[in-house]
Amino acid sequence: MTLSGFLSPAFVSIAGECLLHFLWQGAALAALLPAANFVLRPSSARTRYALHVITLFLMALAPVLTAWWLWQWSAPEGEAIRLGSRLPLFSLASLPAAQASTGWTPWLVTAWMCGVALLSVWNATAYTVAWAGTRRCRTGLPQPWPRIVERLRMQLHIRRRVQVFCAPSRKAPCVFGNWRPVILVPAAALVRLTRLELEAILAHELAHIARHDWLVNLLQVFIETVLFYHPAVWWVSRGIRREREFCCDDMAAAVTENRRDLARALVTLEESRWSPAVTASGSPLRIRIQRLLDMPTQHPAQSRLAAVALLVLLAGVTVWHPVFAAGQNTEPPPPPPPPAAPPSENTPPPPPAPPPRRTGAQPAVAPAPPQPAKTPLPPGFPSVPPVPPAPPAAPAKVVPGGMVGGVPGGVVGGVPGGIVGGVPGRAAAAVAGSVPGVLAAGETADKSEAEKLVEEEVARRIRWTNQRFSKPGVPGYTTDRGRIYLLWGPPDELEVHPGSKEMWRYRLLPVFGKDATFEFDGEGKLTKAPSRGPAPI
Amino acid sequence: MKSPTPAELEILKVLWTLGDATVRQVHDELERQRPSRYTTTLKLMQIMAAKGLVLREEDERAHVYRAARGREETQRRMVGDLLDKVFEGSAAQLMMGALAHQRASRQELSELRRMIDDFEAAERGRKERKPR
Repeated sequence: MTLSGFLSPAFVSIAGECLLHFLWQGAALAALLPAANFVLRPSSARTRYALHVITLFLMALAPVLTAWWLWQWSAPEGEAIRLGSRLPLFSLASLPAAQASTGWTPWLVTAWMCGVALLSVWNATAYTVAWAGTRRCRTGLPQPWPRIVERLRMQLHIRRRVQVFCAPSRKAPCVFGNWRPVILVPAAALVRLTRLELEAILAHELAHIARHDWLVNLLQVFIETVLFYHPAVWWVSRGIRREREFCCDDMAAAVTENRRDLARALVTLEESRWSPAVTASGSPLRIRIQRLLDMPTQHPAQSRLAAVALLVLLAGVTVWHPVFAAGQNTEPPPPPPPPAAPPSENTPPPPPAPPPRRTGAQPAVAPAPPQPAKTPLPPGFPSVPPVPPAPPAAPAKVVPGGMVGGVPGGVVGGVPGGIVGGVPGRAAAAVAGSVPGVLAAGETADKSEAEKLVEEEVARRIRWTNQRFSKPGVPGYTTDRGRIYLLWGPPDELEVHPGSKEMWRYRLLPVFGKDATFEFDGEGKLTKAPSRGPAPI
Repeated sequence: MKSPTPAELEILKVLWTLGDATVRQVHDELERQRPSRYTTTLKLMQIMAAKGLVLREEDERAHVYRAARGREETQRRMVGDLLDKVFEGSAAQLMMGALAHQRASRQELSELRRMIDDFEAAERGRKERKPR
């Protein structure tokens, strides 16, 4: 199957939901930026930088919160499942496996993971190339520069030691590293800049070090990798980089008390790396120079346009997501939904109340079974909240001495062969007993509604057993486990010793009474059936 | 040290096989693969010696050339150069540079120069006009 086939369906489902939700969350957060700019009218680059960084941080937080939220509302109190082998953390039984493995959520998650993997490899290589570049040049600067750098370092209150090297092959000065920062100065700079100009440039680089910009940048790259598919993330990230340069320009100008030389140095450096291949593309340098020379800059129009665009995007996604999510559901939202009703609206889903149909209309049911919340379902079992078996009126017949390979104390009523669409007789009846919403035949107000539910449940169980228990030439629902699953749904407790045996325990079954345990061998053949218990309740 | 050009790489490959060789020997080897002129090979090898890609011993009348670096090392350098080129932009983004990756055009640069000069002139004018 897809790459995510080996991951538990719960993870795939949650991840897909989070990714989709981030579409509107990201747009909303990004739209807040120009709004904040409009309201607060931040005057300094530092404030704008802070706003951008906060926005990006919230964007990174959004999917995490969404995932946590979904997990909370889906897991029935996350009780541990007793297994012979350990399970990964995310195995939430209650997320419907059927939904997660059909539909295109797995493809979405797979595509996303592939994107993240590729970008990570790319970034890791870029990092290595950059790092190798810094290792190559180790010639220090001639005096008096080390002293000047020290002085600037003190003025900017940088406690870490900073090394400055001359890099003949570089085209522009840069900084690498956060804890042992290194400044690389191109040879062109040493040659073409005056003393004041080079000092201004060094002050600019030291300002980057003082503000830990390199580290923030690394986090930016990380967030860009994970949320690569949303343009708002790139937009905000670009804004951060832009404002960062402005901040450092301001800081350098403040420390050296010299805006003019910094502006001149920037232009000289840009000239030194000019090549005939460059076309007029509106470089960001102009705005920086204008700011340094205290000239009015034209920013705001850009952000207004961006705000409008993002609001449109946000509106579009808000409208479209419920439509999209609704299409994914394979069951109607009203009961019986699995407790993890995927939030099909953009508002957080109401807490999944215990199945509403479970209103004591079953007097015959003696020990009210524990809420679905307490049931540890095995991973991957569709979450049909276990309901007490139907009252005696339910025609759950069992064929004595039944089939299943001559197991003594035979079990398992006949499953009509090979009918998926039509409502099979006994299986349906048995299922009818265990599907919530169908109280007893005749008790539901809308009979066709009940029948529809039963049909759907049966179809789903058959689908699921075919998926899970099929062997070449043997459809899933005809195997031992499949038949039992078809009749009575997922067991309340599952004990799996991979390869050797498997035990299914039902707390209460119509014929077998309390604590009915079925044992299967490593192949899935029934080895032990529960003995007939006391009279059905 | 720059990477060898494709023609220089051919010569280096021959030198790696032959070890020490004169221009004549190298040329003979090259001729087997593809027609080439002795003078071209000689010129190339002289340039390579100047670049430092090959070492030259001038004891005898026919100079003996040897590859300055082994095959693996050269290959490593070539890969490194390629990586540098491919990842230039991304690596630049990981380093905090004074200049953005996007470059300015010639017009913009001259415009910016003019802006600064005008600003300076205005400032000087203001200073001179200030009453002492």
